[in-house]
Amino acid sequence: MNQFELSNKVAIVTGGGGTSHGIGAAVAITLAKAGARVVVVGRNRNSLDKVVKMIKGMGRDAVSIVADVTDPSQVDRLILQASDVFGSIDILVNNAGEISFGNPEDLSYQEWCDCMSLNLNGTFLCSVAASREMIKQGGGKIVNIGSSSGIKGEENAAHFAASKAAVINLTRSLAISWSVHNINVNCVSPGSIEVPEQGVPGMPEEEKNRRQQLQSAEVNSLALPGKPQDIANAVVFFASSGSDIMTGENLVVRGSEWASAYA
Amino acid sequence: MTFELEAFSLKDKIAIVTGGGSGIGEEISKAYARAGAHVVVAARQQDRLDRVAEEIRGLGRDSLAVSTDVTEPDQIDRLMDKTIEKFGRLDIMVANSGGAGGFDLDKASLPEWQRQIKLNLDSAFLCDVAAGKVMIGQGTGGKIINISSTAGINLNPALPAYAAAKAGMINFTKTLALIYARGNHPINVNCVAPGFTSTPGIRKAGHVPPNIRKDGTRVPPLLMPNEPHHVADACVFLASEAASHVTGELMVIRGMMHMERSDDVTRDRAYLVK
Repeated sequence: MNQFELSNKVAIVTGGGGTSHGIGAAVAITLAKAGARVVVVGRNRNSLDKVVKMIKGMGRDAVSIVADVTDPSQVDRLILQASDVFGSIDILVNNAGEISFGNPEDLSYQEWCDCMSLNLNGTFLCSVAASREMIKQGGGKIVNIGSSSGIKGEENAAHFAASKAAVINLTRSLAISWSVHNINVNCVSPGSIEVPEQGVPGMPEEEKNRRQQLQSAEVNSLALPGKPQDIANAVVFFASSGSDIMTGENLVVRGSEWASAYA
Repeated sequence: MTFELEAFSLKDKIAIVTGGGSGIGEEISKAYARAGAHVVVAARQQDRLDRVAEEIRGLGRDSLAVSTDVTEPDQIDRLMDKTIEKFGRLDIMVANSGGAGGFDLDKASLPEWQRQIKLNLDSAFLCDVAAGKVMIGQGTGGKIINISSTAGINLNPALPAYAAAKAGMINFTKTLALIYARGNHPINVNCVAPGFTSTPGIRKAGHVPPNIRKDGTRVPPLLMPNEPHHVADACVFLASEAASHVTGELMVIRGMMHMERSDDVTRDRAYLVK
């Protein structure tokens, strides 16, 4: 048994249908490959069931639960159902989130609130609800998905960057609070992730072009946008006993993208 | 259920671990072997290296013990030569040599300051650059991991020289990652900063707090010091393909020991500032 194996663990992945970059689906599938039974959570039944089918096709176990993570009562129901299905909750991956683009001066207050609601409130609600189960069980692992935008700021997505900065900070506070309960809380922050052919909803044409141009450049893989698999691998690390002493950390997964700031 | 993630394996990779004869370095070396790598262990004391190399062979992997003073450039060259001679290439370099030493400002001496900087910072510079040259020459890329310390981020009045060296190592890690990125070399350069770690040496010296409090309650594992394998596990991840999109990063390895409220634990209450 190696230190990254997740046999007999039960993992919840929110945003597991992976409709934008496909990080959630990659996380769910990779956790399953590592041995976990996976509860795939999202708003769209069809996309969830596609991921569940893929996992079952690998001979692993998964179920889908439709829930809106911004609604406290739905989150409570989700946690109850999830612990009912597989008997425990060992891992929670707070991946549900979305990005939209626009100049801050053009941003509506509603857009700001929607962004905070999904990226930050959803993470908070799921963490707190899952922690109650984990405390009863004697411990668990929570992995949040942040963003490099949450550290460096973002020119055309201030609301998104602020929500992810809050997620990174929430990670640290929850880690301090729950260290006595044996709950590790860590964060994985992706940089640019490669754009699937069909594009990402709401992404401006110029941003899509920039990434697709970069994707086809003849440079080493560190200089390319990341793949959903890169994020999924880091999530497995933080979900596994290989990171048993780590808590409150934020691992940024963005290749050498940051190096362009020093051009 | 079996583990189906090849990306986390180090199968047939060639690694050098300096300071591999004891403590955290020994643990990293053995964890690498268990993950499938062949490991060159380097440090000054041949007998310690021989023992670790023997254990690695016992795990079914090959090993080479090269007695090395990592502060001497010609000895680093020799270490690289011997590695290439035996294994034909180098995939992973772990610059782990070093040691904490007290430094009293009242008796501050430049030679002692320089000795500590040399042991803890020059050694990483020499190993990293030499390994980088080999990796660039191979054209296959590679992984460089520097073992710093939370002393390099926190402030510790007892360890000014050691802390400065470890802080320097963190900055050097990022700069080297930048230089390789500019050169379009697929070499990941990352830093691991362990907090207080219960190595056999630390344990023997009686510095590890008990995991049972005076009132009989158990200290939660996250409020205890690192075990050496905690550091090694993170080093396996960083050396593997699973972390191939991570470069120029710092991974801090520690729990919340500083949050332990019990009086029988020496506390470091300074929060990490990142």
